[in-house]
Amino acid sequence: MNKSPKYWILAIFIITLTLRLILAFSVPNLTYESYYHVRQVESIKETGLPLYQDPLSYGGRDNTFHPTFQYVGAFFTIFLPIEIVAKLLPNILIAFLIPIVYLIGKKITNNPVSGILAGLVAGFLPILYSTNSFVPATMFLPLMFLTIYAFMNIKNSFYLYLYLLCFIVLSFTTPATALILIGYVLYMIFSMLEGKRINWAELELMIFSLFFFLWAQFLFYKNTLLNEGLGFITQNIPQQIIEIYFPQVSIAQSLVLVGIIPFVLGIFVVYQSLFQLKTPKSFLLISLAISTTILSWFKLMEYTLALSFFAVIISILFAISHQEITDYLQKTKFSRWKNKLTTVLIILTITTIIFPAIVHALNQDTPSNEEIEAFEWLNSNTIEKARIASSLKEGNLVTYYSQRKNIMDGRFNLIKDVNERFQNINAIYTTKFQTQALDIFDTYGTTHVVLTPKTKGHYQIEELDYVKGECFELIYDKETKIYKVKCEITKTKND
Amino acid sequence: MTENIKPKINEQKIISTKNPVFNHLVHNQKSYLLLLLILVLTIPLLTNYSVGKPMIMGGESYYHLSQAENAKFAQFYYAPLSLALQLIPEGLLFLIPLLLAISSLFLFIKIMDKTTISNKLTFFFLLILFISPPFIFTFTTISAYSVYLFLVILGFFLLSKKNEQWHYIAIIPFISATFFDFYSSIFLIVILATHIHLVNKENNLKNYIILISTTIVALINVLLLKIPLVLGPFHFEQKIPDLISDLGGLSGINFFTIMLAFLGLFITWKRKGFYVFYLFLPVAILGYSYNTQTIFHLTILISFFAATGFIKIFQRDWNLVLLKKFTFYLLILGLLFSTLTYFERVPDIGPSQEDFEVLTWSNNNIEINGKVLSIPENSYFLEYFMKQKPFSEINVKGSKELSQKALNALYIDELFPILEGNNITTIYINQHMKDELPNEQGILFLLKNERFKIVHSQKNSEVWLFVPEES
Repeated sequence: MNKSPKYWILAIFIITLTLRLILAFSVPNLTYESYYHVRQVESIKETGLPLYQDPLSYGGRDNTFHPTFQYVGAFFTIFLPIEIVAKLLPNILIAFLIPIVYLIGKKITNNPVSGILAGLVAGFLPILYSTNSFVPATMFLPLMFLTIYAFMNIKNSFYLYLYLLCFIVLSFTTPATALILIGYVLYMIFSMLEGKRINWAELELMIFSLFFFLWAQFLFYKNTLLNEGLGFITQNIPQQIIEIYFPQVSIAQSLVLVGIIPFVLGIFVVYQSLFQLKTPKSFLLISLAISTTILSWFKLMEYTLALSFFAVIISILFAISHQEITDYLQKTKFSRWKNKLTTVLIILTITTIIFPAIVHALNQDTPSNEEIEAFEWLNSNTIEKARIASSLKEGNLVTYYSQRKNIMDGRFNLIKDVNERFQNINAIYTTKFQTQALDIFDTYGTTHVVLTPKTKGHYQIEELDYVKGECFELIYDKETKIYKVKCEITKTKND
Repeated sequence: MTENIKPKINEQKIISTKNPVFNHLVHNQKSYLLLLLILVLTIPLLTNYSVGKPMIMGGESYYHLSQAENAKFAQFYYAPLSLALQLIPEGLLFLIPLLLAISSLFLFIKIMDKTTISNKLTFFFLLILFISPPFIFTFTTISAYSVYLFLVILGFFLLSKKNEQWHYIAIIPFISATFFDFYSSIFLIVILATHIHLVNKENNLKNYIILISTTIVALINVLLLKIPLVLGPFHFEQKIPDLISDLGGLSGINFFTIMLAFLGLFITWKRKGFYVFYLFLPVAILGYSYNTQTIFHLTILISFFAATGFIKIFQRDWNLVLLKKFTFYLLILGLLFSTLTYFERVPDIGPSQEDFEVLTWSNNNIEINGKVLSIPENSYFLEYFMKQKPFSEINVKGSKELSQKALNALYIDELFPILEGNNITTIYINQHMKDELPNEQGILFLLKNERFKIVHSQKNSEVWLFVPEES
């Protein structure tokens, strides 16, 4: 292992990528949120610009976001169809975490074996096995850790420029980049507390990063900030579904998703670094782990993203723990067991994380082929002005496959009546009264309602209670049902 | 080899006197800062003029104008404004804050020339202060704090004179500055105490006299004249947006300035000679947390620390000159960006052209015997332009809830008793209310009732009369 770390890393990279791609192509379709980004990629491919004035989402709305990930996706659609790019690109990007984590682990421990172990853990982290997610987080994670690696090597001018490049790209990829800035603040605090002199070169980069990040956010989100104020941070998410985005942390579930052994050893390293050894080499990583926890705790960062980031940090800390354990063994009469311990650690770690990783991938929340067929049917069988009512998460399927206006989807920024819309969407699927449903359909000019098996499961219903009578016509009757709305609350529609 | 190194050394000196451009700016700072001041203060005024709005904006302006028009003996401190109202045509009232700002600038630079504070710090402090929304807002409205700042600076200018007779005259502006609110008086007392601490201790008797007399008058003002702790409020408070203008508040500080101030605090922490300035921080922060109207005091302090941070960051050599330059321009852009965003929002600050037209018309053409129902934000405009008593006033506790109860009433059975019970005879609706209130219910819907008669409207501003049942 000591002699050919590059080959080991390459092997882990290939194995991981292969596994990820097998899983990605065996699970049908993409996760619901992915279709929003796929649609943006298609818009960029066709017009060169993302859909900042989206004519379909919420029946037409302004929408602002950082477009780097979508542009990268659009670039690859020059060579490959979007269906392939959407499954290939995120998995390749996530797989790149392996060499990056290896480099960081090796840098901190000066031990290639520990670095390889960190890379191995990062390659099979269950939380990262959302193989069918075409979302900016898949670009954010490797880029973020590349930025951190560059930061650790800023004395070398190549890495200085690499840092600048990565940070600029990151700032235009997602506002979650704020994580690194909060990490810097904690890093400075820890360093000061431990009497470590802060390197001016590091401070320069932090100052630049802070102001560049702020500027990049103001540039894109000026109107959102002015309209929503601090609500910008919570993305204007309706109160009722805030728990979905920021669920109560289940420690058991989090442990499985991060990996039990890496987690336990990672926490051991954090404890040792902060309270016993006071080693500054891991301060930056610990600061980042704490900033992730803080943001997640205060519900300022999406739970899955926070946990993913935390898991990767834990995999790096795992390298430090391996290094410390082997160093300790070296000093005892068990030193000859060093290699055996590494082997045992690898076997134990892999067996405890690979199975949850595969299960996590197979259980991804994606629409079925039959559901997608129904949304495609809407595209060819309804007029262009049609407005489709669907569940919240299927809103992106309405805009992508049906290419029709929806009532609501998962992009809440700049929507004034977001809570009211969410209540109305719920009422559409749960009300027993036709007048209430028709009133809601009138409000949004809704022409069709889609009832998929997933929606039935979500609302625990078998059928819409109010669709009997003349006001609704069942026009698509498979597992998924589509109803045409034929009445208004004041007058009967003539068509 | 030497030739290659030389330009690099110069490139590091972005804000050094070795940089000819910067040197020129600092040496001629009075002219450039004056130009900047006139520019930032005339942009909102011209924006208001171009959209047909009254040039003077904000609730506070009309509060003071109303008070000056109806000043009683106990409000003798409104005499200068009453006099100004008689001498200056209403359309030229904007000149008052503008002249106060220019005078304050000249006096401040004169004072700074006599201190050991560097020209560079003065330059950046004023630069950051001038482009901050609270400063712009204060000096484009008829505001108490614009006069307060002028008086405090005037006092210190007189104190900085060599002739000691002027020092005693300084008592007049200092005492005058205590007539606005008690918080400002406390701030002034802290400044005076700091001044005593910093100046030559042998010649301090007169300074103690000034401090004590200012304190006594401030206390008299509170106890006898019932001067409020903080003047206002003139809008509904929102702690965070009122602090950061980029989050949509009326006139908060630029986010970049706040970050620079944090860096300034962090970098200059425990720096010799600076600890005195940290004393002002708790006063300013406590003041702000009590009432966001005091953002002006906090802005001055934040701008000072931001300027300190700015100088400290860019004065030293960076490892990467390119990064230093880039960060420098980024910061300047960021600071300007927030200010420009603020300018974009100036047309949204009331009163609008329609408010002015409809309310003035009502004053001239209809006789109103009762109160006027509108949102509390319009209360000062109603008092000044319509010369009427508003039903809900922004500075009265519970006012918001009271007006909301009336404006959101679902049935006439709910609304009419409120109107009749409070002697409300007129209702004023404007664009802002039409944007915020629902059309299909509440007051906008109930106005269809026959007991409401529209008497005048322009665009979306309307005056409605509530007709008594007998008629």
